[in-house]
Amino acid sequence: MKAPRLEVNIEKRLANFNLCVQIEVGAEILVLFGPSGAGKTQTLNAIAGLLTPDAGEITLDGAVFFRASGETHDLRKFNLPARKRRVGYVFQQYALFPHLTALENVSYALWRQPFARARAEALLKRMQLAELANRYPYELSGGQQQRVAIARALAMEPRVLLMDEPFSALDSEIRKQLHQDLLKLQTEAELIVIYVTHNLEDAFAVGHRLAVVRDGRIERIGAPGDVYPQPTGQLVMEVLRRPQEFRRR
Amino acid sequence: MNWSALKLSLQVTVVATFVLFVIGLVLGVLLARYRLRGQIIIETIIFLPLVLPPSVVGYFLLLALGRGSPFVEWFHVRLLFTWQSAAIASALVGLPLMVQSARAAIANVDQVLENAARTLGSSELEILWRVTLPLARRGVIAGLILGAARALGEFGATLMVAGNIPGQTQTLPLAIYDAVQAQRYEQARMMVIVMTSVAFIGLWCVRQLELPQYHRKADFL
Repeated sequence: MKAPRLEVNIEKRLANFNLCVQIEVGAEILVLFGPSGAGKTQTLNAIAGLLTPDAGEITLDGAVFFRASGETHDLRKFNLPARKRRVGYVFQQYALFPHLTALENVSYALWRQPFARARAEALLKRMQLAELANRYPYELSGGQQQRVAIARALAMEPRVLLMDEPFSALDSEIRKQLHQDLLKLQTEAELIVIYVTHNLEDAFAVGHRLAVVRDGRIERIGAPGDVYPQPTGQLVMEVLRRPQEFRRR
Repeated sequence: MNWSALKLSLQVTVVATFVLFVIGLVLGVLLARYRLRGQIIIETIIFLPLVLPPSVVGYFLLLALGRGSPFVEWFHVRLLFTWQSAAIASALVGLPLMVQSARAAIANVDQVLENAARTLGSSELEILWRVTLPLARRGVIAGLILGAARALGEFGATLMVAGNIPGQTQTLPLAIYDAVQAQRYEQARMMVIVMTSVAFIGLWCVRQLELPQYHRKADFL
């Protein structure tokens, strides 16, 4: 099987700044790291199809998700709707459907597909949630809701998984466990994972590569160990000096 | 008790409620989720029957349904002085109540949930059916009850477009008026009790749906 490749090269004018992101991601976990309001979530939204860029292109293995009409080519604007992109998205506050049980949440995307229930049950089991299948989201702890959200995103067998501050509300023990689960999951399924966080600990625990995002731009990108000890960007310097500041929500 | 008027009232209200549900829901979704050109004008027109005298609503309906109107010319249907025109008049006066309640409930549904459904492969119609409406259902049902109760009580516009033909277009409110005119107070009293009971129960249900809910589960039940 050919290694998957997601290429993002977009510009978008936003209220506070211009988003201008160029990244190429393979079967790995790329962490987008930076303070709140740097444009990390908007980048995920653009990849998922929830935000339409003004310019640029997004492709997955050569298949176009988005392409602006440009001066360099005669091709017309193309924007694949979110529902056809098959991009898994784990939202910041999980965004579980409150009127559905854990099992119904996970099988949401499998509607009208054969063996939906069995497949959803298998996913819940894999996430160690089998005995909680019939509980509603409000009956689950933060960590359990998080795992339901991941199972729901995985149900449609995405090639790309986007995670927005997935573990920020959880305590450190559960976090460590979920980091291990995520790494295992990524390797098994050869997933492209883009993981947004403002927590440096998280970034180091799961990131194969780290991209420091500030004011809508990627300031530096590379292996966490490379980005961290030889900082050139202003933000990376600040993180080194006062890491606690960047853990704030 | 005037049984034919009761039967006719039920018939008119059921049809009017169905019309209310479909049109009210479409308008509620459009007004809650899309920025429409001329949104304020559209809203104002929908809400007009709430404040206009019933005779004015009836007058407009006469223009819309009467001889020479495009409706009659195109579809070749005669609606004036039939129970169907009473249903149209009833739906029209109930519509503002339904739209107001449905729109507020739909606007209250977290759009992140709709976005989540989008990434999970749902079309817009499917999202409406599987996410938005189930979460907005308390408000939608409340609006439907209010609209239906208002439709059941419709008097003035119905009188103008459907007339007051016993057994054909005479609904309960019209029959009460007739009974009082003819000094058949016993009969009027029965119908008044029926109308008041139905209205009371309807409003009681709406209040139940609007009650503040302390348990999180009740946010969506």
